[in-house]
Amino acid sequence: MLASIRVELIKLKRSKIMLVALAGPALVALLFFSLQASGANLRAWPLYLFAGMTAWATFMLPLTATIIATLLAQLEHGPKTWAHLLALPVPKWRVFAAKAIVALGLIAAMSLLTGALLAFGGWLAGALNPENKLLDPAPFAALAETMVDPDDQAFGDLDVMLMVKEWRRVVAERLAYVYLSSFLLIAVQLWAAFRFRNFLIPMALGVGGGFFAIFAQASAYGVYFPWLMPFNTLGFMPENVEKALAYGLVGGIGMGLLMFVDMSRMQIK
Amino acid sequence: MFSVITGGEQPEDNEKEARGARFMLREGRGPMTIAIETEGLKKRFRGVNAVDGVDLSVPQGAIFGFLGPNGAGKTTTIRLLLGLLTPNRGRIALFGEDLRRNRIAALKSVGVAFETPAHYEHLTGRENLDITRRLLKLDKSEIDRVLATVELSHVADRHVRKYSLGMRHRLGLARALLGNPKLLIFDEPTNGLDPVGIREMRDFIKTLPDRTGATVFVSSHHLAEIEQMASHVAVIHLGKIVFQGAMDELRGLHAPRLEVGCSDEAQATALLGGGARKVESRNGRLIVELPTAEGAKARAASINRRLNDAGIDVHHLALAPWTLEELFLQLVGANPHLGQK
Repeated sequence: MLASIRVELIKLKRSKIMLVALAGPALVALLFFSLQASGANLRAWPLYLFAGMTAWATFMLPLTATIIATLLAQLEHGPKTWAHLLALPVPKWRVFAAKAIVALGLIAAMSLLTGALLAFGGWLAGALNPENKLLDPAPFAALAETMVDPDDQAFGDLDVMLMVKEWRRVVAERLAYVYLSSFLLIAVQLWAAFRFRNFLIPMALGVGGGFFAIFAQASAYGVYFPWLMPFNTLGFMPENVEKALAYGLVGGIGMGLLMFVDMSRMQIK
Repeated sequence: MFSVITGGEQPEDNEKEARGARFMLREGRGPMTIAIETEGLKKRFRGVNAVDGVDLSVPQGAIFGFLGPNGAGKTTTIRLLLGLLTPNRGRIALFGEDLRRNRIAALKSVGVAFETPAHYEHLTGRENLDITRRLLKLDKSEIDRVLATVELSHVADRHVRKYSLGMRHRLGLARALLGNPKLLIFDEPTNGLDPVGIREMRDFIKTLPDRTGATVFVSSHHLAEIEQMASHVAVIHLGKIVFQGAMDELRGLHAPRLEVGCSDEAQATALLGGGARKVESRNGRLIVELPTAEGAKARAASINRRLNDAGIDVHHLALAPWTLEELFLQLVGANPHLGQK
């Protein structure tokens, strides 16, 4: 399996995939740095980071996952190398599993990069202009405890006190949730990208999925919508966090296994 | 003796049993003498039989030409042999290993170069080979060995997108040669090459059994090309094998012909057309059928003398190659039901 993964990494050399992997997180970080630096002060670190993670989870993650899955498959569709690859004395499922692992690895790295670049952008905005400096809310925790009504809906259903006291842990945890819940949409995108030679099909699926996710938020069934699961794990609707995480993660693994079986039986004409 | 396969009919039950038993025997046998064996191979696409009851038997060490026009079922057969397509019926064994039951063991001894050389264009030739080498778990030195074999060492670190078509074909060959496979499968290896490239490729393939000990299975739609390199041949037409045997048997099947250009066609026809000899006029030249390939040159010289002695000037004299279409007409003509799909 390691050889198959190594081979997939060799194929990434000089490909546009690495550019996408860098551009996605960088764009999110740049957007929020610009907002902060231009005076739209988000004041506290957790608020700033959560806003950035929301943009990542709702828009940039589904979009870059779509592009990465499509490009990984096009590495074989384009030069028509599937036949060579699948005629080798290697289990066929391993070829697809290696690509899936690389996709998951890239998106994990992108998630970390998003967090790191967001933090860097927030720091830089403050360093350039002290008026835009983001505050660590921890020193105010005790004060906030006396001031914030637990039933206050101003922050939606987010647990404000938890955010104030343990914001670093919560941010890291939610960033991981966003990633893990994206497994299902990544599996769906990979399957479509492997199955169809025409790259427009997986791209249309990804863009369409992302678009409909906006409306699916209002639906009772939105929690089952793969493109909405990363957003749901951010906790704006606490009852959906665990569901989104479970459906996204378990569904993604299940969908991945089905994909390996299906793709191993693919007929290469 | 050549074998003209009648095809079309389903084998009787006892025949099926006998085939099954033969397969079992081969699996348990010691040193294999058959590199590829298929029986009753069938593949349907949307109700059409692309491959229809193909029985192949490729002896080890042979250069086996797989001949047929475009759309005859050559590529489909090759993809079935490599496990890229699943047959609707039939069995495949590579060196005695059943492909369906033990795909990985069966493919371990196979190297393949497809009709269109497919490489990762953004990588170098060396990096392309490294991908296959790693998957086959071979030593790094294998890359340099195969690059030297196909004479691509000097461009190994150049991006494949900068390779000419000939170089891409050779890189495909190098990839197929990684690990010294016992069976090399080439699907239309000269497609798209210029005449020099075709000749180089043909010469290269011809030397492979001696150089590597490999069996070579090569498909083509050029009769002349296969004639020049193959020791054995199978002819496929509309998904059915219409001939299978040694190259000499196929040559024996179609008598050589002499193409004559002369000053008086009518007189020459009268002079040469006596007895059973067939003479016909085509595009301003006479086509004279010779009885056998043996002594063809001496017969050509004799015909030339006879025409000269009769006062007819000969300005063209050459052995006329058979086209694939003519060969099919002859093979299919003997078995009219083969023309139906």
